[in-house]
Parts: sequence; structure tokens; C-alpha cells
Amino acid sequence: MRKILSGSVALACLFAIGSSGEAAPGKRTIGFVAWDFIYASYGGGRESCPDGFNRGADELYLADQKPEERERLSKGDGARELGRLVGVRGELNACKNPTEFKNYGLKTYQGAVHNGLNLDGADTTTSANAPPNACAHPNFVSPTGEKGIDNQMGRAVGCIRGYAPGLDFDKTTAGTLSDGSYSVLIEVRGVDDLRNDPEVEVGIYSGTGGVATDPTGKLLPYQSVSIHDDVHYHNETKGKIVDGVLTTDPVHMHLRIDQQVIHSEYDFKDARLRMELAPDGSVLKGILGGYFDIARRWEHFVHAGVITSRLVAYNCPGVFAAIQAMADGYPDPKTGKCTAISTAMRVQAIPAFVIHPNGSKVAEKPAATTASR
Amino acid sequence: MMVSDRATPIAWMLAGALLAGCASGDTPADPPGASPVMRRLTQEQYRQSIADIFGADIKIAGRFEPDLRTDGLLALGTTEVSVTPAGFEQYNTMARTIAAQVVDEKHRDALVICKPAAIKAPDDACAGAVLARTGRSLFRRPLTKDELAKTVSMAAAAARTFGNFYSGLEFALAGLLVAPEFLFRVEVAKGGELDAFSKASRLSYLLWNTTPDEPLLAAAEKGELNSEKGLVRQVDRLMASPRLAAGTHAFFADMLGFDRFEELAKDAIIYPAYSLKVAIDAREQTLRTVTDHLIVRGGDYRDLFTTKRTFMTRALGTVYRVPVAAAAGWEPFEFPADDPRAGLLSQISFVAIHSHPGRSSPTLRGKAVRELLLCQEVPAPPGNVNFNVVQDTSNPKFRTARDRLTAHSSEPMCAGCHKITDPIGLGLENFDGLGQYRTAENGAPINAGGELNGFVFKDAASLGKALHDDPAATSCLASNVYKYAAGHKLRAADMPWVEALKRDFAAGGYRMPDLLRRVATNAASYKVSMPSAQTKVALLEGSKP
Repeated sequence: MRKILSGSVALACLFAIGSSGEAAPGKRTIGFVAWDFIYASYGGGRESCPDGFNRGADELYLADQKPEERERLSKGDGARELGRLVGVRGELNACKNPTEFKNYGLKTYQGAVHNGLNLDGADTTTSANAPPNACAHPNFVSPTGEKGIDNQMGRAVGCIRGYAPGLDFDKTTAGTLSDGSYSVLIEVRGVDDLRNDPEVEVGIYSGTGGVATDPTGKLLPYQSVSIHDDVHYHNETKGKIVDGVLTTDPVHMHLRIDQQVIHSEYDFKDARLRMELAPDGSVLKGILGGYFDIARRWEHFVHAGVITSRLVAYNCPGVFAAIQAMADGYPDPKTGKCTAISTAMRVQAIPAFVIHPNGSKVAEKPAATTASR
Repeated sequence: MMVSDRATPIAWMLAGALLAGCASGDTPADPPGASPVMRRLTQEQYRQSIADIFGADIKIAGRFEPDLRTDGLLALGTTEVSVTPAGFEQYNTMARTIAAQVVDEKHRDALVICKPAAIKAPDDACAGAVLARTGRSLFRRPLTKDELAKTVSMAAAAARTFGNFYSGLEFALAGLLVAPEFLFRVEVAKGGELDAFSKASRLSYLLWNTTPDEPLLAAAEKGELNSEKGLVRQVDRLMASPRLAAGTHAFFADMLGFDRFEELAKDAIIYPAYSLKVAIDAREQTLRTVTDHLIVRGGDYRDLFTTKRTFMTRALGTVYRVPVAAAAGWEPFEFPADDPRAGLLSQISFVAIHSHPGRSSPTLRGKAVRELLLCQEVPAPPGNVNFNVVQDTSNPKFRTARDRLTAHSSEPMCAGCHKITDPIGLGLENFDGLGQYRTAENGAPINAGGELNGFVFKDAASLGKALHDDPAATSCLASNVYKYAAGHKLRAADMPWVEALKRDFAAGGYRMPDLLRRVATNAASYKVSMPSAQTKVALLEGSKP
């Protein structure tokens, strides 16, 4: 693998050979655009959430009220009043100022299995001892049986209905990734062999300028997508491919999120990929694991606001407290309190040409398709 | 249509071609003139003419009459079409919309060259000045005294009715915009040849695909186009303009049958990458390739069948599966030397429009090569053909198009025509019905080999080479340019001159500008023959109910 010069082009092309000197002869550059980039939710059934899903603050508030008051607050002016009672008070609101409002608590994920990666290298599946440079936390076992899985964010939000597999946030994310609101690009450079390569260079980028979809809204493969102009969203690391699985070295990663009312970024510390590459290179899917910076992550909840919390059923004070309590990474040297929380994102991507900001162009041999018709 | 004078502009539309003797030898005699013609403006010509006369920001809203393809070209069909009542309603709507914009407050100062003495009353002097100037541009010649007087009178009457000078002007302008003299390019004979204004129109629409500009009209007015020197001077000027690309663009859109894009449809399940944007860009891609190669680079026409150079947009890049750096618009692109794509035949425009909505069609593609690029006629299929075998792409016995067509062509009534088309079209089978590259169909490898007029090829790229080397391809282009310019089919009397044109085209290395210049500066091609008295009588008799 040869290092890519800063600011140079590396147009990704499946099975492409060479790319204007960025990779040594015979090396391939392969690119992808994600159609799925969301919390790697898991379970959500009775085993993992024995007490059911959480309820929104309005439901919780009403549950405390007498029947006639509950009736009054359920419609018309009463319903508007309820919104204010549980979510807004003057200049304050329950998501922006979660400690100023009643914390109804949060039902958290009780299952033993969850998606994720072993970020801290330790196995605290059965003990809650704190690994070095981390706060004490129990680990999960992955669906494939791997122990030591760190995913405290998954533990915190795993019984919120909106985060359940196939529900609100899955759908919203798929929608906003396909309407071009934001995009995530992955480029693997210097590839000798799609199945095994001891050293490759990997770029994970935010995209810009929209994406192309088919009439049903699915992203089209082999489209060209530009990398975000802001280098803050350019993340470079190294990795390897073993038996078709790409893993990367940890890197502090920043990616845009522009999802409806949320306009912020993912701030992943120690972020790394573990993704399966289809033998023909047509699919890349797996997990992005890392530590969310808590303050930055809470910004998403602030943007989503009280309305979202009511729609997808959580109470901001409860989530805020849970995240603070479950944070397991990056302890503050002075207080010892952890400032980041382990997480896992599900990533699924299809082949694309990743266009670097300087826009240089290289014609590369496209992959032959054996598709019918 | 034959036109003897301006008083009877539509009198001889049905006049037939006049045959006459021709000389033999290397230097053929000038062909005897054909009848002048009357051609309805194409949609593109209408739009461009309006933009040139009134400005590109004038909006045109309406539906145009369908075109007619005759002898391979819409340009020839324009001499055979009329305006239907429904079509006239559309032209009328467009005319009123255009006229309203011309006199509105946004455009008035720029387009109305004088101020009326009083805004609420007619002003014949001002209206006359505006209408004379605009009418000259619209009719591509000065209005006659009578025409101008009637138009000014119409403006005055309307101004009185509406109590507004500009409303009157608008009304009169709309009248000019629906006049046959605007909607049709009316060729007028004078002294055995086209008059100077008719020559100007031919030149302008041939080379720029729009109405003559002011210097060309001025040259016509001064009679300069009636001398070889003056004609050449104007041809040189028009050909030196970047607008020559627009003329070439229009010619090839016609020759390549790109009106088919208007009805192009693809099955979204089978071809999810297809979109209207892809269709629009695919058409433009080929026309850009052509004009860049032929006009900007001055390339050999034959190389269009083998060139690796083209232009890309992101929408097209997704179908071609190539990277496109430009987030919007076009960028030059060159396929690698070993890429299976080469030349126009492998572009989406060709393979997609000559396919079915859900599958490719070697037959349609082969037919298109024969008819559009080689000017060879392919007979229509008989009415009782059983297409079941060809249409069933899921039959495991016939997994590829070659398999299916072989089975279909085993029927004697089908074999004859399919021998003409399929061997060519099968060379393009590596491109599916949208133009996406593939190496197999239904899991079976595709054999794209074949033969064209004795030249054996193995794939699309070598088919392009076969076409490159086929003299029928260059001969076809030369004939088409001649017909496109003259507006009539080739007559026996034209052949010696057209053959000489082809020889010159070859001797010059098959350069399109040379071909256009040769046709445009050929004084003999502006000669016209008027029907004899007997012919006129026969035609009139024949037209009686």
C-alpha cells in the first residue's frame, strides 16, 4: 500500500487498477456509499426489555394524574398544557435542560447479547471491573458469541421504541441517507486482494452534493459522490482484510449528521470498522464501533427536541441521566467521570465512486457485471 | 412546395420532382434545380428563432405539432407537414404568450424600439417601425408594403379597442407569429434560383439551425448572396461562429433519430438506474461527442465509430459505471484503450433507444445501423409474425438474445430480414436494454461476434471499426447532408453531383466542416426549376375533389 498524498484524488472503483499514481501498480481502490448508518440495534423483545419499552414523558406524567385530570390533559388546550408541563417551562425545555425537569427514569436493555466491538480490549462480560482508562461497565456477548462487547449506548437506549430494529430511527435514517440529506462514504485503497490484504488504507468521509436513487428510493450503485469540503469530516486510518473481513485501526472520527431537525456531527473516539466485504466487492456491511463524546451526542437529543421524545417515547431527563451513568470511556483525569460512551453503528454500503475535493479524474476500468438482461 | 411569386405562397406544395438530364464524367454538371420547398419550423428551430429575435428569457409554452420522418430525415418531413386546427391553437397560444412578453414592462424598453406619442392611442409610425423590424426577423425577409400596412392597421385597431398602444402592438405581433411566413420557411424562386432571402434561410438553418442574423439578412438584401464571392463570405462567417456546433447538433439529432427519445420508456424494475435525467443526458452526450469531434477537433467522421472520447454527467456515470468528478454539468471523459466501449454505437443513446422497455433488441439495433448510419432500407416485418420466442427472456432453453433470435429466425418468413439486421445488432449484446455493460444474460455468456458486409467482428468495439471502414457510412452522411440542406429526396439528377460530393469528402479526410462548406457554397444547389404549365394544370386537376 502506498500513502495517498494529501488532497490528491482517489476515485474509487471496484476492481479498478491503479489510480493516477495514488496506489502502486496492481493496487485497487474500492469505494462505497452507505445506505444504512444507524445504531446497531438488537433484540428489543421481552428478553432484553422485560418491562417493555419506555414511555414518553407525557404518558408518564399522565399516569401519575387522577382520571379526570388525565382526561382534561389529553385533548385540546389540556394537551397543549401537557406539552408545556412535561417538556417546556419558559426558556427551558426538557431536552436542552434535562436536569431542570423531572427524571422519570429509563428502562434499559437487559439482554446479554448485543451488537458491537470490543473497544477496550477487556472482557468484563461477567465482572464489572473497570479496565484501564475506562469506567466500570458490563460487556455484552456479540450475536456470534464474541465476548467483551462494549456498547453502553445500546444498553441505555435499547428499550426505547424508536431505536428498535426496523422502527422509527431505522426508517428515518434510511430516508435521509437516500434523499441526500447527508451521506457516509468509505474508501479502501491499496487493495491487492479483496479476501486477504495485510495492509490497506481506509478513508471514511462525509459526503456532499446529494445521491442518486432508483424510483423506489434505493441508492444506486456505482454513482459518484463527492467528499465533504470540510476536512474535519475526512477520516483516514489503516486496516487489513482477513478472509474478506475489513478491520481498521482506531481513529478519532467526525461525520456529519443532517437528519430532519438534527444538524450536528457524530464524534466517535477510538472508532474502528469491522466489515464484511462480499467476494465480488458488491456489498460492504458490518459495524462501526467507537466512543461517542457524550456532550456532542447529547446535541442530537437537543436538536430532536421534546416533540421527538414524545413521538418515539422517551423522556430526555431519563436518557440524559442514563448516558451519564453508563458512560464507560475517556475518564476525566480530575474527576474520573467518563466523558464518552461506547457504541456500535450498523453500516451497510454499496459500490460507489468517491470523489475527492480537488476533483481530479481518472478513468478506471469498470467492473463487468454478469447481471441478466 | 413550388412558389412562383410571393402573392401565391402556398400554391404548389405538391409539385413533384423534376427530372432532367445530367452530365457524366469526373466533373459533373450542376444538378438541375429542384422545386423550392416550404418547410415547417421544427420545435428546436422555432424555439431558437424566438430566442434569437426576442431574447433567451422569453418563455415558450405550448405543444408542438408532431414531426414526420421522410426518407430518413425529419428535415425532409418538414416539407410534407401542415398545421392542423389543433396545432394552430397551440401556435396561437404560444404566439400570444410571446407577444405579451415582448411588450411587457420587463422587455418593452429593449424590444420596442420607439415610444408611442400617447400610450392610450394608436401610433402608426412607432408601430410601423417596430413591426417592420420584427417582421423582417420573423419572416426572414422584409415585409411587403401591403403586409406591413395590414399589420400596422391591425395594431391600430386593437390599440383603439383596448385603449392601449402596447396591447395593439401585442395583437399585431401575435398575428405575425402565427403567419405561415413565420411558421414555415417559404422558399421563393427568382430568375431560376432561390431568391437571396431564401438562400439566407437555407444557410442559417443548415449551419446554425436558427433564423438568419442581421448581417446575413443585410447581405441578402444587398444581393451579395447572389454572387459566389458574397455567398462564400457569408458561409465563412457562419462557419467560423461557435454556433456551427448548434447546427451540427441539430443535423445529427435528426440523422440519428433522436426524436425517439421523446417516447423512450424503460421498465423501472429491470433498469432502476434509468431516469428522465439519464435519457436527456444520453441524448446530449452523443451530440456533444459528435460536435466536439467533428467541429471543435475537426476530426474524421469515421472515427466517431471508434472514438474513446466523450462527455459525462453523474447521472450517466452511474449507468456507465465510471467516476464523474463534476458534481453538476458535464466533463470530458475518455474510456481506457481496453474498455469495451468505443464509438457512438456503444453509447447509451444508441443502444437504449433501439431496445425494448425491458430488454435489448439486436434486431432494432441492427436495423438502426442499416437505416440511420448506412442509409440502407430494411423491409418492415410481415403483419402475422409470432414473436413469442423472442419476447420470452425467461425460457431456459434460450437464455441469450442470440439463442432466441436463432430459434425465431428458423422460420423462413423471418429469416430473410433477420439476416440483414441481427448479425450487426448481436455485436452490441454486451449492452443491455439501458446500455449497461454485461458479459452474460440469464447466466449464459454473451457472444457478441458477427459480421458486417464481410467484415468479421468480435464485439462492439470491433463492430465500430467495421463501420469505420465501411464506405456506406461516409456515403450515407454525405447524402444526408445534401438532403438536409436541400429539403428534398435525392433525385437521379442529383446523383452525379452527390457522388462528386462524396469523393471530395473522402479526399478531404472525411471532415464535416468541409462537407458542410461544399454543400453551402454550391451555387447550383440554389437553382430551382419551376413546374411546366402542363404540370401545374395536372396537379390542379388532380387536386380537385
